[in-house]
Amino acid sequence: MRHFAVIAAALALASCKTAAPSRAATAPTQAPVASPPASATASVAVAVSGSFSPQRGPAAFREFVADVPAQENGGECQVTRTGGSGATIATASYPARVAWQLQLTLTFDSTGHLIRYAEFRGVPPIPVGFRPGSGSLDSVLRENEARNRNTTINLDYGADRGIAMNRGGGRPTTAIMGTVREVERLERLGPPAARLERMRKLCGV
Amino acid sequence: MIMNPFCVRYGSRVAPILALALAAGAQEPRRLVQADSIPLELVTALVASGGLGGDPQILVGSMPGWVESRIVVPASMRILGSAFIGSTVVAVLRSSDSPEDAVATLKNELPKRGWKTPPPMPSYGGGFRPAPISAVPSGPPTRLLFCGDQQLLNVSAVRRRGVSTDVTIRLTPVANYSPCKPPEVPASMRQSTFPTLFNPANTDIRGGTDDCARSMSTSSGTGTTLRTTMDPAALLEHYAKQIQDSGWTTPAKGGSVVGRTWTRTDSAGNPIELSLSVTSSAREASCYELSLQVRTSRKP
Repeated sequence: MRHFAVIAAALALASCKTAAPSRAATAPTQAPVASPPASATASVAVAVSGSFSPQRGPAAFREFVADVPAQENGGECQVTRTGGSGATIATASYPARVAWQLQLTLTFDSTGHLIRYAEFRGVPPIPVGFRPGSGSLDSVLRENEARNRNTTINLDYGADRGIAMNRGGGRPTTAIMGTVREVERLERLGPPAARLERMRKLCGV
Repeated sequence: MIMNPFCVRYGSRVAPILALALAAGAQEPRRLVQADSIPLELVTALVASGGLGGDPQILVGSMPGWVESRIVVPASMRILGSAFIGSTVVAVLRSSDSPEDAVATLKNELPKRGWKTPPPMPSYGGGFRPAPISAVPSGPPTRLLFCGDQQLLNVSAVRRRGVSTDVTIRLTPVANYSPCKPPEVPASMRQSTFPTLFNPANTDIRGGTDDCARSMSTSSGTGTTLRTTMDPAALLEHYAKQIQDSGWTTPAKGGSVVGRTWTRTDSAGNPIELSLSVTSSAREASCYELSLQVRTSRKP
């Protein structure tokens, strides 16, 4: 069984001590300096990661239960286009952008093909309204993950891979993996294909 | 082993194509909703609306479901289309009604979907204030502003080529400060002793070019306090004689003064007197100067 390492979040935090520009400020990937000058900007990359062993096969699919149900009521959308690649990203937050309980994200490539579906059920990993600098983001993420269970479903159409996973809340991670078709049609998950179509109508994409 | 002639002849060519087709089976056929063409009337209306800050997604003849559930499309209107990027949505409706009637219909319907009129802007102190926009009797409005939970809804209607009306609805997320979230007035600023008084509609003088503003651009005053048994008319007559003796004359018309006094107690129980006087200009009878005075006394 393949063992996957999942990067849940990789965040670069920048704390600006003074406005004085320095070489270090424009080169965040440089090796850390033991005692940086007081005027330098310090960039710290924070990664929150975990590992899981996804189950495969009909039996695993039959037994898998999403720990967090999909609260698909209301809904607000946000559509963005990336500057470089021209991809379109549509995000639907349920019941609203503030205090959402379910978030779906669709990514379309520059030619308009749907390439990715991501579903997150549970308490938002980063609290809505969190401002960088108002606290330690890595601590917030870790605390959130330790306290709250979440269910995620990711469909990668290019790689034809679908993964559904329960994690966090102080319990072991459980996951299943299969083709996109296998996962998106799984009745026990909604199914995601039907939710995707409702979300597209909701967001006009 | 018997070989199928077809396989022998074409097998080497078909196999790669078949492999490609199988691989393509994993490809997602769903595509972004993109109209092949956009009607000129929709483009014109979107451009006239001021557009959106970015490369929007455009729907012809519809709007995103989440917006449709928040606004009302009256039977007399049809959706020309919508454009959206980020959380900002511009929807264009076409109506055969007049702009005023179209807006009046939405004004009745939108509150049923939870939209509310914006809260009043906070006052940084009392005194005379320009007439509220809603009080200006400039005919039925062709614009509306509503506040939702986290959104601001702008409605405007314009006549197009004299035959139909385009109603543009713009939905934007509420920023830190907006008509829906006016900045709070610091507590220290709420101590004005003057009540807030809104001027009558269409009476405000904008800028300093108005004759009234010019004629009353400078003024000065003085006052005193007396204890007397004389009534106000006798008191006035007493000073009028002295003023006339020093060369002042009563104008032929205008120049009248009327006033009134009110009382109440403040939060500490002290009595307050408020006097409002209205003086018409001797130069121009339609120019008025208003004066508000508040006097606080000690507790009796």
